[in-house]
Parts: sequence; structure tokens; C-alpha cells
Amino acid sequence: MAVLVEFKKLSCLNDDGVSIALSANCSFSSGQRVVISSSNDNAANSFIGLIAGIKSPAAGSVNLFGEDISTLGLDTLAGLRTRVGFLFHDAVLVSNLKVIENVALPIIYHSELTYDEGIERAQKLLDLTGYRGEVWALPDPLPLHVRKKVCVARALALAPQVVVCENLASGLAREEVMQLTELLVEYQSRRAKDRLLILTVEAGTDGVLVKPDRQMRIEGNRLVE
Amino acid sequence: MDIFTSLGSIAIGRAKSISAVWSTIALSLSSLLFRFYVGRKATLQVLLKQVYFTGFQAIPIISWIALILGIIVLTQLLSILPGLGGERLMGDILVWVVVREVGPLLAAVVVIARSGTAMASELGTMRIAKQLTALEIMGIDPVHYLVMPRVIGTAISTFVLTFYFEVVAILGGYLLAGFGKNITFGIYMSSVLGAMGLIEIIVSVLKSLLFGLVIGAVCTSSGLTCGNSITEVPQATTKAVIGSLAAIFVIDALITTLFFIHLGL
Repeated sequence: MAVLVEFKKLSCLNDDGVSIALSANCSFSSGQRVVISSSNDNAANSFIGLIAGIKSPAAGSVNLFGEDISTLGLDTLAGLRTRVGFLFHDAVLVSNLKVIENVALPIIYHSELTYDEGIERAQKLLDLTGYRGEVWALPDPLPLHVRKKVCVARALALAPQVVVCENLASGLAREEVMQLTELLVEYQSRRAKDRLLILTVEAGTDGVLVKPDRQMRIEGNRLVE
Repeated sequence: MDIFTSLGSIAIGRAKSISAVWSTIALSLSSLLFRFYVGRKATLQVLLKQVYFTGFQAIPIISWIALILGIIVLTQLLSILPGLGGERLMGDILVWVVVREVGPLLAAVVVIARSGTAMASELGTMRIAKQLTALEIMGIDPVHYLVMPRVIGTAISTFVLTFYFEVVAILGGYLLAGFGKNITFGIYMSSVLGAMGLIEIIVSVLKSLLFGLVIGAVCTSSGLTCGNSITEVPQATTKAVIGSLAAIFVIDALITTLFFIHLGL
């Protein structure tokens, strides 16, 4: 199994300026379904920020697909980010784009497909998630679990090698979490050949709902297995 | 000492704002020139939407304002000039007032009122909702995708609206105020065209493009530097309007002074 995400002696400062020593060395490989749970929102946010490269480590390094992301230029980092699908905590969607345009945005921006082709592919992804609403509606009035479905479709838009979920279960009913989890697990099994890594960071104890095959937790500002 | 400290901090604040505006313009232009092929289909969509909203949808209000201005200026001219025996000055005065000064300024004011406020509040809201961070994490540069098309789209729209404003004010003004008076359309137009030199066109084009770039830059940077609370969005919008108005009047004065006093054109 190829190592896709790797932390080396990683520590960072959280939003309150407190140092978090996340790990000595830790790696995540293709095909895994990992849940990292934390009782601390800050630690979970910092973790996502580090993987996304929007937060710099205080010490150590984050390697994504074998590259230390702190050494990369903006364009190279942007290129790596296209290989990772992110599901954000509050199901953040671009508010002035319609639902289908939100899903099509990474496709149209990062590929050579035309607008119409991007929209067509976005429609297929929305169908895959079971989205039944109006695709040409603005996303803000949608309920959280529906917006999370749209986020799943957008995260899968560029057929990523890694999907990172931030607080997937947060704000959802148990059935809704199960539905989203089934969706991701099913998608992972479809991608058996290139073995998708699903990495979920949960602030709280709902991590178990997302059917991990590897479970870790941030305890006292340390990442333990 | 306190007064000097206050004045100093105000001056530093102003200098920072001006520097932010010019760096936004520089970033937008370099993004357009050097990263043209990055996400071009997506950025083109944003640019077209901006031109549609800022330019095309502003046509009705611009038409009304231009017509009314044309009527006012021409009525004044028709009431004053014949008594002074200066009908031949009609074209000159129309070009001085409409093309050199009021056309670019009023078109810019309409753009600020309609689109500047919308841009600042939209980007402020997006920033607070962490949509900019989400875009960045998806590998989409917010400056390239959100700021550049808005700044360039506003410049294109302001330029086109200014040209349209001037044509409507001059032609519409005659049709509503001058028609039936003792001046024919042929004489009227030859008077206007005779007064319209290359320099008037250059000044009008320069002003409208600069106004558009500055309005786009002031409004997007006000939105992007909005704080973290939703109550700060209206403040960012007000800041954008005041900043844009101040900027266009200063630029207008500078260009007018440069061209018509220092260069003596």
C-alpha cells in the first residue's frame, strides 16, 4: 500500500497559540479508512489545516504523496490539492453558485472540460450521492445533510486519491451520518483499483459511526493510535 | 504629541489602504496576463457574469441619468448662449461637461452604487463563511478566481457604460431638449463633433478604465479584508463606497489637472 499522507515529528500552534505535538511519525496509506477523533475542536481544525497546507507546522513536516508541502510553491501545492477531496465542517459551498455549479467548479477550473461537460459530470456525481433536490438552486437554504451530500459530490469531482472529512458527523442525525458513510464506503469499494484513502477527523465521539478500519485520537494534544 | 500620533496613524492607515488598492490592481493584471490559462473557463464565467451585472443590467439607469443630464445641459445652453451670441460654443461646452468630466464620473458613481456595494458585501460574506479558505483548499486561487474577473469586469463595464452614457446624453439631450428649437440636428452634431478632439476621447477612455479598475480593487479589497463577524459586512460595504467615491474624484482631478493644465491640451 502506498503511503499518501505522512506526518514527521509534527507539532503546530492551535488558534489559541498553544503548541500541539501531534505525532512522532505517522502515515496513512491508500485503501485505508481512518478516523481521528478529538475532544478538542481546535486540534481537529489544526489537523485539517495542516493536511490542506493552509497552516504551517511549528516543527516537523507534512508529506502529501511523498512531497513535503511546506517546501512547495503555490501552483504545485494547488496541483496536489486537486488529488485530495475535502469535506468541510459546515458543508461550506460557494454561496453565489448554484448547487450543480458548486460540484462542477473544480472540474471546470482544473480540467480542460467545457462548462457544459463539467455540468454534465457534476449531474452524474450528484446522482451518485442520491441528491434529489433542485440542482439549479442556491445552496444556502438547503438542510445541512443535503449540503453535505453536495460537498461529497464536489469532493469526488476530480476522482481524488484521498478524501479528508472534517467533522462528517457533526450536526447530523445518526441515519444521515450512516447514509453519508455508506456513500463514501461504497465509492471506496468502486475505486478498489486505485485504493482511495478516507481520512476523517471528528471533534467528539461520533467517529465510530463512520466505520473506520483504523482509529486514532488526539489525547492531551498528542495523536495516539 | 497625541495629535501628531493620531495624524500619523491616520496617514499610515490611508497609505496602507492606497497600497492595498494598487496591489489588488497589480495582482489582478498579473493574474490576467501571466496566469491566463489557469482555470480560464471558470474565471471567464465569473468575468462574463460581472460584465452582465455591472454593465448590461446598468443600462436602464444609465440611460435615464444620461438623458436627464443631456436635457439639463442642453436646456441651459439653449437658454444662455443665444442671448450671448455664442451658439457656436454649444459643442465645446457639451464636450467639456459631458465627455471630459460628468460622463465618466456619473457612470462610475452608478457602478459604485450598483456593483461596488454588491462586490464588497458578497466577498465579505464569503470570507466570513470561510468560502475563500474552502476555494484555496480545493486548489482554486481566490485572487485569480474571484478578484481578477471582478476587477477586470468592472473596468470593461465602466468603460462601455461611460461611452454609452456620453452618446445617450448628447443624442438624447438634443432629441428631448433641442428638437424643434432654432437649431438643426446637423448643426448640433457638427458643433459637437467639431469640439471632440482626440484628447477628449483619450481622457474619457483613460478616466473610465482607471475608475473601473479602482472601483473593482477598492470594493474587492474591502470585502476581502472584512472582519470575522457578519455585522462587519455593512461596514466593509460602506468603506468600499466611500473609498471608491474618494478615489474616483481624486483621480478625476489628477487627470484633468495633468491633461488640461500641465500639458496645456
